[in-house]
Amino acid sequence: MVYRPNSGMDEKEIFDRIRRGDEKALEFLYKKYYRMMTKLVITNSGTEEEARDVYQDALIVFWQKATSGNLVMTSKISTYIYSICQNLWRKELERKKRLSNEEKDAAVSMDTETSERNKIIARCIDQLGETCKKVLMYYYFEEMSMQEIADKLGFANTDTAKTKKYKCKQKLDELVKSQYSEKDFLD
Amino acid sequence: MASERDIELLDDYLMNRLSAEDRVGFEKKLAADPELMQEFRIQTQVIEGLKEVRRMELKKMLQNTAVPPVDSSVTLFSRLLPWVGASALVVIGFFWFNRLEEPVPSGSVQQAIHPVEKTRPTAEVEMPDEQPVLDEKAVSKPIQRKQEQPVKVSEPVKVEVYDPTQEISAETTTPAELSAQRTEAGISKSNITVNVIDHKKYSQHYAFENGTLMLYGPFEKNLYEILEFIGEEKTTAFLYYKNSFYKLDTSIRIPTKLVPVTNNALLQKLKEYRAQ
Repeated sequence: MVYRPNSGMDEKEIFDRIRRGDEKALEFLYKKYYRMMTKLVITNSGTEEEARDVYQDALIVFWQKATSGNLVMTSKISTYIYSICQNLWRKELERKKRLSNEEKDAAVSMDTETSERNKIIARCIDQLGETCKKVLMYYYFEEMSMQEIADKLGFANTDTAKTKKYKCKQKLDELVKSQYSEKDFLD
Repeated sequence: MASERDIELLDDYLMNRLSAEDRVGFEKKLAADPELMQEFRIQTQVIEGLKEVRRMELKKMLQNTAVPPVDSSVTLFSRLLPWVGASALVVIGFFWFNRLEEPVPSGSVQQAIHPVEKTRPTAEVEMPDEQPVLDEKAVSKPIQRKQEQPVKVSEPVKVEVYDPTQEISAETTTPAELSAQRTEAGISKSNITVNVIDHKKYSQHYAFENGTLMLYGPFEKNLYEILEFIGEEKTTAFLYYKNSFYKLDTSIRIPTKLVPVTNNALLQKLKEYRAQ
């Protein structure tokens, strides 16, 4: 039996499924272009780990743009993802170069603050129920419409999705605010 | 405390779901209301945190997805590809030299027939104390020279060697220097390190940085080769890419557009070296 990576899913189908937030299609795409995309970084002074990291980030950028409906494909998916990989790797190389200079300390300090804040919020998100988490992530990250969220999570209608989103967000805000004083949020 | 309506507007504002008109109106309100501004900061961070958590979740999912192994031999080959061409030239150049080899005038500048392993043999030639003893057998049996020290030969030479550096040198050197350089031209293993950079501004440029050749553009997408010709006085390098040859000036420090070689005679020779 000959393995055909393309069997069963053409470009259009992959993109349609990605646009609808189908994570299986994302995994499929990840495997399909893994070698091609990682090679780009590896042959440009990167390690395999860095290559994987860049490729994953690029795919997530693609995913986010596709699910939010902000992307109209005018080229092949691989071409688009390749260009994101190129941009991300270029930025990473620039960042490395910058870090070798005196900006290092400031950058680390800023990263630590942001990362600390994200950890706090991540802990609060963890306290939410599974459905709440999904509703908020689909709304804020995937930027799905209420109709799409209702369809994906099996809600009766968009009003249910809207109410759910409102309550979940309110709960998250309360959790975050209860743990930290206002100064923690000031830049 | 911000009203429920304001929080809704703020949410839509941060998600870019407001019309241009509503957006402007909300920004005015935001600027005039410190409490709302504070809520704006909080919400910005909460939404960013949510996005980051989701990003990490997707990343973890991809991380746990089984992927085909990166073929290290292919990767290595693609990295070494430019050197394969250069190495081939070393061998070709070696035999080519030996084939044409004839004795050179006695007392002339010591001939530069160097072991292939030496990348920059000129330094040795310039040091009289290190001049090797003539080895007649080595001259007549070129193959053995791989194990021999550089040799000094003693009879006139009638060598028709075409030196690719001629085109470049003609503008900067005297005919005598040019002539000397011509007879001493050789091909050796390229020791130029190459760094390919995909640059937004430069698409087909190059520069030398601390001895490293920086190629700006999508060179990784196709085969490229570096041909390095080492002479007594001057080393000249050429880039072969997409059926064209480009002269590389090692004194170039800022990204400079690659200019294809147009001299037909030179092109012909470069093609011959490469084809061999």
